[in-house]
Amino acid sequence: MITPIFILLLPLLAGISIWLFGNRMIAHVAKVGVIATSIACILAAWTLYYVSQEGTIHFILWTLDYEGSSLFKIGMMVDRLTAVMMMLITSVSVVIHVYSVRYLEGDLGYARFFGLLSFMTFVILSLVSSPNLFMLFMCWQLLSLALYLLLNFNFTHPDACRNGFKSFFVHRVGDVSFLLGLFLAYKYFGTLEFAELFKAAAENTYFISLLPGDNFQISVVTLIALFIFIGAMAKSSQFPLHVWLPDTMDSPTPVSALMHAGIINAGGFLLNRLAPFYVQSSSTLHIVFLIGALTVLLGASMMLVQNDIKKTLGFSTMGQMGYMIMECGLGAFALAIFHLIAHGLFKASLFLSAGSGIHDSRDEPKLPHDSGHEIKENESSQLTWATGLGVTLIMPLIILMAAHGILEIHLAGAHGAVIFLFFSWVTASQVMFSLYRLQAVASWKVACTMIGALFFIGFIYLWAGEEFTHYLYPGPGQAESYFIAAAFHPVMFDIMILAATLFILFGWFVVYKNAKGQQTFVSDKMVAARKKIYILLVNRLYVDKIYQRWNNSILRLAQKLAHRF
Amino acid sequence: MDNQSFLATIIALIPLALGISWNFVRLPFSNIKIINSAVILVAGVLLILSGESEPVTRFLATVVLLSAFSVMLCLEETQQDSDNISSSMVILGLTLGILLSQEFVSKLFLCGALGYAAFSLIKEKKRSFRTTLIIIHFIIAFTLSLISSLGNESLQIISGLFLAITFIPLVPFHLPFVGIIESNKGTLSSFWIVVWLAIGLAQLNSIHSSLSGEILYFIGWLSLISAIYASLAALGQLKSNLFVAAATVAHASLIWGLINVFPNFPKWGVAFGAALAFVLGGISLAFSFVRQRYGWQTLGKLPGLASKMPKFGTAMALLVSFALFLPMVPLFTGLITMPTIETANIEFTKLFIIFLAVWLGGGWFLLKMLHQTAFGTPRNDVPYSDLRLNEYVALTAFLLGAGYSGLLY
Repeated sequence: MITPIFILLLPLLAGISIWLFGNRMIAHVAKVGVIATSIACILAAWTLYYVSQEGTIHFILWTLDYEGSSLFKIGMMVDRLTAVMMMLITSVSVVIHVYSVRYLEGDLGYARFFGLLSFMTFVILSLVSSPNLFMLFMCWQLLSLALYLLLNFNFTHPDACRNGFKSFFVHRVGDVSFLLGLFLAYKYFGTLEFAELFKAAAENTYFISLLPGDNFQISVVTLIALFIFIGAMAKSSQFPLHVWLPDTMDSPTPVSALMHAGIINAGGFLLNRLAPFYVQSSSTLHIVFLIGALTVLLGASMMLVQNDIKKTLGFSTMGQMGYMIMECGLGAFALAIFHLIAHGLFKASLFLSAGSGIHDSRDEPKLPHDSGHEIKENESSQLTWATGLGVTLIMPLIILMAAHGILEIHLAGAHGAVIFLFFSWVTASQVMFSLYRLQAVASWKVACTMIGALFFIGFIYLWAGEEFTHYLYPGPGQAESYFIAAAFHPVMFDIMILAATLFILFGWFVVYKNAKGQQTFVSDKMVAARKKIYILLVNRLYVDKIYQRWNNSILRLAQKLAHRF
Repeated sequence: MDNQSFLATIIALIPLALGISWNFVRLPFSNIKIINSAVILVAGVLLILSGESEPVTRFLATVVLLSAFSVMLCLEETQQDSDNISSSMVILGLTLGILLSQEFVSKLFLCGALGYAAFSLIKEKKRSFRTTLIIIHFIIAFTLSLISSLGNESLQIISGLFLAITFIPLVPFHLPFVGIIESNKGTLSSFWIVVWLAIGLAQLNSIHSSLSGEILYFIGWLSLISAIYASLAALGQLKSNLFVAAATVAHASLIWGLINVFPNFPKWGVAFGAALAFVLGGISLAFSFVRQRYGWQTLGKLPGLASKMPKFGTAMALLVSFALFLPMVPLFTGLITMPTIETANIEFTKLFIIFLAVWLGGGWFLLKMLHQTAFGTPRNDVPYSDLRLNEYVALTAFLLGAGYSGLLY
């Protein structure tokens, strides 16, 4: 059963043929790309069905044997996770190929673009179907290079070049770390095959000293997991390696769409692929959660202060990737994939329509719409506030408890439920604020419809998440074991929930008082803090500037040393 | 001397004799080029027929022959290349002699190569403290290579190590290498890179198993310093040939840094070193083409070449891509024989910093160079002309050589 290999080969062959003959058959370049990826997409759909019915497909195409050892294995492993990812990648790739036909018509680099697009599709597909960590790393590297080449599509444009370089360099940081993780994995466990590696890591406990004299000892599994996670952080734009993502908007829109719908998900995929390894180090999962939560907070906050639609989308992706990583840190690996798919499709469509949105707004400049309705201040009623508090705090807790009873989702010892709470809080708050701006909540009908809809969405989310989890990890107790491994100390968990609850209550209290024109004991401080935070966020927490300063210092030192070399 | 040694010496002596004779015999340039190319091809055939049993030696000799052929292909009828055509044959002959001959004869060829390098350096460079240091370095290397054959085993190891560090350059023993690359013009500088590293790899291959733990510990620290210093130097270089020299030293420090980690040097070290020689030699060759056309040698002064010289842009992008992947691919061959935890106790932090310097530094300075040459807005006042077929073929040969060395060897 080697049919899935054609899913990889078709985009590769398309890329090679476009590269070799593209300039001589410029009219057919797009057709080659579209046809190849479309057939690959059909095959991916069939593979998804086959894998769901028959189980994992695994085969090795080429092995380099040396003195009885065989480290280099090039092949494919298509399990449910891979099949789902293949379906997502090929379908997004088809859409982007079709979109690019008109978008890049007449461009001098038309053939080069389609060649690179097909090559990129091949690289991502190879990455998700790697049967071992070695091949995955090879593809990981190729992905960095392919992304760099795509971002430098307009290589005569200084900004595109600068940003392409920046993104490659940040990815390089992650790559170095990933490679060291790989070295250690092979050194201590003697294999890079996934199943064997997971087994060896579970059976053996090693410690490594990071400083001479057996000082600062750390578990090898934790160290490897952390090193590989840094690789995932760079690809998935996690703080503080997020700086490359918001600046890559100079690339053509289809590249942005592919990047935000496909490439950036590589980190989430990697953590999922290595889930059985990560669950052996709870401390690493906690760090993963922390980084993810921090990225969500910063990404979403920085998004709010942007005035450029594509940059807003860039920071939004950063925040969403934070969610995805946070879900992995909580043991909800399958939910991260669920999120990844939903976000990928959603963000790709947003990027592809962003251009026409910008175009429309340029075509028809309008003054602010005058509805003739004078907005009254403090129009909100008690109902508004009650609804807000209900949907943002009480409702998620009720759904969670009900789901626990009806759907038998275990909460005890499996603190992944915090994802649902977190998600509900944020989603409900966003809905609430949107409706508040539209002055629509002060009606019983709207309030009831909203609460009903959110209850429905909440249950569907829980149900779909639960089903998808069992689809991806069908082994008995497998998904639950991930949750348990990621579980916080009960006290810690309670503190987190309590802190979030108090934070929401406090937020509502301040908003309510402000709306009523009443001063609170923190009003002045909050106004002052808001300005400072705004400046901080507009400047992206000065992280870019710090990196820039380091960069300049290193270059100055390099110039001095170069004279003496 | 047995038949095999005799044949090896003959293979080395023919190009050497030809190279010397081109200084006195006056023949049309094209004829000399054809004769030289034919001799290189014949040397390749003879190498196969000689039945050279040592795979590393055979491989390194092939590397040198391939690069000599590529360089020969690109030589043009100019004053500079008229000098280079004889020099390249002399260097080829001496290098083949070092690689293929037996112990004492090999040392004689090595002395010849050191003498020739010193001579070409003195001829080109002005007298300075730096030049004096380089000449002293050459004299020490020359002396050590001569007396090592007569001394005991420890003297042989010390002299072998000194020569290996000279030819696989490590800071502060890098000055002769940098001097040679700086003083040689055009395609010859590219050929020197391949030759220099090939000799170094042969030297290191002969002594690596005899190096004690203390020496390896010391070398580990030296390679760490070398990786950081050379990476920074490459980042700050403005002259193209010095950039290539610094980049080579930076990457070469990885060979030394990992010799303590991966025991099977002939497997991974030679593959890595050869791939490194081809890639950096290829970049140097590509630079020489641009320099030949526009007199360019300062990075950043002539950007946007990829849009006006697409073949150059493609070749440069491929070479840089390969250089960025360099440490990874051949190293994995070494991973196969990586020792278990009980037999090797590496200092992980040191290894981490070496990798960080070479990978991160390499990524930085190579991409910076790519942006300063291939990418960006082209100048309007330059009459651009893309690579000719022979130049493109030569660069392709270097790329194929690097691919074979790094991936398949």
